[in-house]
Amino acid sequence: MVWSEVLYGVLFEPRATLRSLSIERPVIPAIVTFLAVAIFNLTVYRGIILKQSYAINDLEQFLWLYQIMGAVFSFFMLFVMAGLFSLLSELIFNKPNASGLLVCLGFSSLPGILGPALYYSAQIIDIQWLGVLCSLVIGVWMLVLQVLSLAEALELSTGQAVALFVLPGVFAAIALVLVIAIFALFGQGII
Amino acid sequence: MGKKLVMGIIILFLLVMGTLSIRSAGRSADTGSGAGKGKVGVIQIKGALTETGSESILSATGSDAEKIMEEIRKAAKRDDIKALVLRINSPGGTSVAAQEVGIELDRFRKTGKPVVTSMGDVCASGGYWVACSSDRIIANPSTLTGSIGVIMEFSNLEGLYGKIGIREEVIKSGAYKDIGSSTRQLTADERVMLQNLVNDSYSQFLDQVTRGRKGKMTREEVTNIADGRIISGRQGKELGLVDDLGNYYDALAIARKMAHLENDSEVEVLNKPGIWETLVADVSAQRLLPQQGWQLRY
Repeated sequence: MVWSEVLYGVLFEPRATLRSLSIERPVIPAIVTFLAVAIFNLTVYRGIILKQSYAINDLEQFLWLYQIMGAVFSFFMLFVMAGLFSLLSELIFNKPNASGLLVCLGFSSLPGILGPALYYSAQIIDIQWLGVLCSLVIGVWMLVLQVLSLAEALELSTGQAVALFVLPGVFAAIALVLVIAIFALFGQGII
Repeated sequence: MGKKLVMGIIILFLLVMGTLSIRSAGRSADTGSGAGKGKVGVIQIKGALTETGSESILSATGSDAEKIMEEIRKAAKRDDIKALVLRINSPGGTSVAAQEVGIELDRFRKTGKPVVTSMGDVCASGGYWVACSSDRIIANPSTLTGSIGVIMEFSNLEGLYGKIGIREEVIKSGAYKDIGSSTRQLTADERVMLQNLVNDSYSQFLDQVTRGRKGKMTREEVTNIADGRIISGRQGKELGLVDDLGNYYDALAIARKMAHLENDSEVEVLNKPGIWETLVADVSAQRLLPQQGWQLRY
């Protein structure tokens, strides 16, 4: 597939495009797309934050540092997510596809490039609620694409993909509750 | 065709937004937008005002007088800087550091550019000395200011040294060479000598305040309140130590007006702290012992 077709397909024909990508596995283009989105958003977020900040504060010079740290972390998380979901899928459904999933998740970040740009344009025309609404819609769009990525890359049904997608979150919530409970019991001297 | 058109529109939109955000990142909303019409320079004085090298690298919690002087000199030479706002949040510092900054500000004002002081939480003692070298002083009603006076402190650890078996042997060329030594009490002569030193420095402080508040306070009025007392910004206004009550943006507005600049003229903070200074300022420990010894402090 031509890159421009992939980009269009991810945005407007995601299921078929992600299925095709999970088979072809163009890892480098997927990573380049993910990084391009991150770098573009870095620039637009800078404009958004500085538009809301004050002259005297020291925010400006740290912004790049925070943003680059955020971009590096999200890049790291892309690999963690691909590995984790592939591992869980192998354990539960016996269907691993880490590299295919990496490609699909990388491309599924594509709508994220529109979020900050739309928010910034809403800020420029001074309609704040529209910016928030656009960001929410884009956020939901990306979540849907991530679930579709799981479904297509791991050949799961939509229900299975949703279950797999929320599983790490459920585990994390249970672990958090357990930690809080243990600390509470320690605090009361029961343990 | 349809796909290309849609992608073209999206890419064009992203390019426009990217360009706009890069342009706006150069200045924030409150710095004004009137680029090229003259700027207001802002110099921040935060923490104790000291000379270079008098603080360790890990106690970068104060303001370095040499760096501030350098920024003032640069601002004086720059054609685009039409006025200066001093944002002071300082309890004072060494007498020399305050004097050096004050002298440099006086030279800056001779170029015809106005200087306005905006007081933050505290602008006392040496901080107020510096403020007196500005054309207008703006304070918040609750700002702590005043503390006009001089202090010099020594510790006498003679008793402690005796308990732990330390006895200092001193060989000196003159009677006063070990004046202020922590191993013994001050003699009566030494106390008189140091008191005269403090009095002389205090007299210089009174001169500075009288000069800075000329037409607003007499020397007698200054002397009456120059007993080290701390006062609020509002009390300062009533006494004549402060010209107006207001915040940082009021000070910017006054500076713009004095320099005949547009209301939206650009603002440039001239001495933004670097990443290292800010990080160190947050993590460095405060001194356990008070700063003492051979320093006259305002």
